[in-house]
Amino acid sequence: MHRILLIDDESGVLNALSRVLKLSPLVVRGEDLYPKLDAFTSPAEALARAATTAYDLVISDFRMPEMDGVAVLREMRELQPDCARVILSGYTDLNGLIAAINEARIDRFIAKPWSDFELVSALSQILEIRALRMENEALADQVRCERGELSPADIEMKRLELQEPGITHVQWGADGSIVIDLDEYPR
Amino acid sequence: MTHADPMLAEAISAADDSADEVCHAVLHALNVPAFLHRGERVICCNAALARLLGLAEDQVLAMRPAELAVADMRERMEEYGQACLTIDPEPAATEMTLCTATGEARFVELTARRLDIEGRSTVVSTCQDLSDMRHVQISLLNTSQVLNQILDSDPVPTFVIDIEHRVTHWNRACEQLTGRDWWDMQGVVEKGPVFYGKDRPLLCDLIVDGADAGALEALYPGQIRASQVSDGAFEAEGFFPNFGASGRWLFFTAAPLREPGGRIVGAIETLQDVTERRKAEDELTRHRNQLEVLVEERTAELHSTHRELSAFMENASVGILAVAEGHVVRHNKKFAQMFLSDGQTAIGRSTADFFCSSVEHEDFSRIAFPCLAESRPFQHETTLRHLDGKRLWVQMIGYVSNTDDPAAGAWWLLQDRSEVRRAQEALESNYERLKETNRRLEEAQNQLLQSEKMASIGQLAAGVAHEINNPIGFVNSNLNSLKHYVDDLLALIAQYESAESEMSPQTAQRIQAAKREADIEYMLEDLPVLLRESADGLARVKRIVQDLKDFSRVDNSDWAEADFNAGLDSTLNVVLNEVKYKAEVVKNYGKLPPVRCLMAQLNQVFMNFIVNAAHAIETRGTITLSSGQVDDWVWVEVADTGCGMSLEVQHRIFEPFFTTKPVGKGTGLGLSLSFSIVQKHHGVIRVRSEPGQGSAFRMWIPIMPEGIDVVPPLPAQAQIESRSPM
Repeated sequence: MHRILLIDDESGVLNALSRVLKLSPLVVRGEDLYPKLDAFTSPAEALARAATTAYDLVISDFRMPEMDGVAVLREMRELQPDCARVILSGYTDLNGLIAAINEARIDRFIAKPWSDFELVSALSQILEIRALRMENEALADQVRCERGELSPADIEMKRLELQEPGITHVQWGADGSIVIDLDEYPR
Repeated sequence: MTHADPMLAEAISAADDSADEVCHAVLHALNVPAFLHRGERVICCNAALARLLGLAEDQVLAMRPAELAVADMRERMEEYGQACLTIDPEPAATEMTLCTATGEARFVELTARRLDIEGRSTVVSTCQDLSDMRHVQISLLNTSQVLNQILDSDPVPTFVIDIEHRVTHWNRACEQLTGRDWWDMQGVVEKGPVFYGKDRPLLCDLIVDGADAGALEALYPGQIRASQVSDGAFEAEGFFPNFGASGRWLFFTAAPLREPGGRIVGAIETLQDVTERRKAEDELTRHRNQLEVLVEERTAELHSTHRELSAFMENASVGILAVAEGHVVRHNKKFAQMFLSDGQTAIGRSTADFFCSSVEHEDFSRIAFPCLAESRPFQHETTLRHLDGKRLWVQMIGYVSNTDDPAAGAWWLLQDRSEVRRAQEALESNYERLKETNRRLEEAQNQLLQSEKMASIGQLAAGVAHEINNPIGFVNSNLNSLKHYVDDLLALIAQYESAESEMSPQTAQRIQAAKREADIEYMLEDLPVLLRESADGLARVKRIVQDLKDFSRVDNSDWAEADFNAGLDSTLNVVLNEVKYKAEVVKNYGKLPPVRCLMAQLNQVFMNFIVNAAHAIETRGTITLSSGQVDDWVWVEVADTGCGMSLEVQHRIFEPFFTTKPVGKGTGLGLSLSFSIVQKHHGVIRVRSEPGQGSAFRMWIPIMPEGIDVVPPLPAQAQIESRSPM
């Protein structure tokens, strides 16, 4: 199941994007892809969801009232390093753009107003590259496993982490207890 | 007198028996006043007696002997005469005072002898006149008394010693001085203790002893000297601590007293109290010394002041000049430096020598002298000249040297102000330059202000653009989706239509009705048009936003090649709102090569031209945008059919803040800013305008590829086609 996270303070944008992606399939490895879309007008809510749900791709606006796109995507990168990151914005200054590239390591910057075709092509391309990279990594891990550099447990942990972000990270309390912060990561 | 007695007796006895004539003769022969009486009347007297009494002999004969004496002596005279007649032997001679005819007293020693003449006791009385002796005695006594008085009342302490060194006189002043009474000192030989507190000889003692100068000098070393006044006297001065409250200075003189034979019989010493004099002298000396010290100090002070003044004058940093009667009498080093060559002196020169011309000198004198004549300082600045001819701008201050006599001369202070003047001139020119710079700065600031304004507009525009881009983004996207949906719907409807034949007649009829109701045919026809028009409208919105963004990018100061025609279009797009209700815009673009420029800034120029053109049109007119290329220059022109400008206005349109628009409508900066921008591109602006006909602004910009700094020559067309306002 492919999931895409959409973040924009303007619900009109979110709806339009949803329609486009529903109408025009992304083409990855020759296959039409209709990813599941999670759309949020609040970056915080989106990040909360991302803590538990693995996404292939996140598309964020740049200027939002709560936090800017760079901050959101930086956070996303920490949560899910393998999730591809895209900024869709009608405005940015040079500093914002630099931060987006250097800090949030975005894969693409798409200007508003966008052309649907270009948008779909760009997203397809990004996912194509991501799939390749993931495959490479998996193959590399397999080789490492065969060489004994990586245990099957490590690989399994990685897989689990990909599916359920944060599942392999146990928060130890000072008294040896396991901290399950339901407020921060509601399941 | 006694010796006369026997003789007289013999004479009388010889004439014992003869008559009284014998007695008479005898008496008359005697030179001594004598008379005879027998207790009653004078019976016989001689001429000497008559002479003594100033009476005639006859007068005497009539008198009783007692009557010869003065009144208070008559009784005694009577008694004495009777005693001589009766007592044996006769009484001794007695002193008697006789009375002359004129009442004068005559002192006589009266000697009476009883004789028996013719048996009758007759008294022979002889008178030894004592008046002279008495006179001498009285005189002597008087003299002594006078002397004593003189001595005593002499305010100078004086004492006298005799040959035995005994004090014989000690006057009152001396008593006062020494505190010793005459009674104490009378006959005292050792007087030393009184004066010196010990026994030692005084000066008078030495004089009495006839001591020589050497002995005197030994006792009074350095003090003693012979008196100038009296021979043999010496004088000295000394301090006597015993006397008075705090001692006394005495000037003492001792002189020998001599007998007529020349033998020294005593000495007199006077003690003159000179304490006051000494004090006064001391005081005087002290005062004089003080004065001398003061004078010395003052002199030194004066010298020092004088030296200082001289040094001050000599080293003063202003030229100092003393002038009397038009000639220099003194000057300092600085003056020499200012006006003289090495080794020259100005002393004796006429002051006119230092003026550039005699006329100037006279002019100067004419204004300076009245001022100085009233003893007022005179200040003036003028050109003077060095003796070798070099000119100096000098500030002069003059003072009369003596305010009581203004004609006596004057002091002049001269300061070379050439540098100051030069500096002042430099300052003035600097000031002018500064003003010019300031003007440019003002211009730059205005430009900056404008730029800043544009920048904030840019920021605003960018913000607005973002806000607009968001809705445009999804509207645009939705429009696409809508097109999809519509396509799908149309396909669906087509399917339905194709299935209509298989429907029941009722259903088909109902669908037909609904189709008619919706005017499906028109809808199907119009839907693509509607969508296309919507897309067009959206595209226009997108372009406006893009233009706004481009236009506002004023800080994008990169020189880049750009198309002026595109710039014109883009600008027109922005300001179209201003223009479209006022004027029809005619585009008459020529083919332009890309020109390296700051397009954003030139867009502002275009905007100013277009907005001005629109403002110049009152109701409705035409704005013509043209462009073209001549040689290495391109031009862009904005012409309007508006109100036009008078010559006066044309001359001022590029001045900052000059505007003909109503308050609030124009800033007066547009064209000045445009001018600056065009100047930055090495271009020019040409204006054609005719009041009532309209104006045309043409901007010429040289084509200067990157790396080429040489501005190509302005085409002749640009030079002649219109009056250059700048």
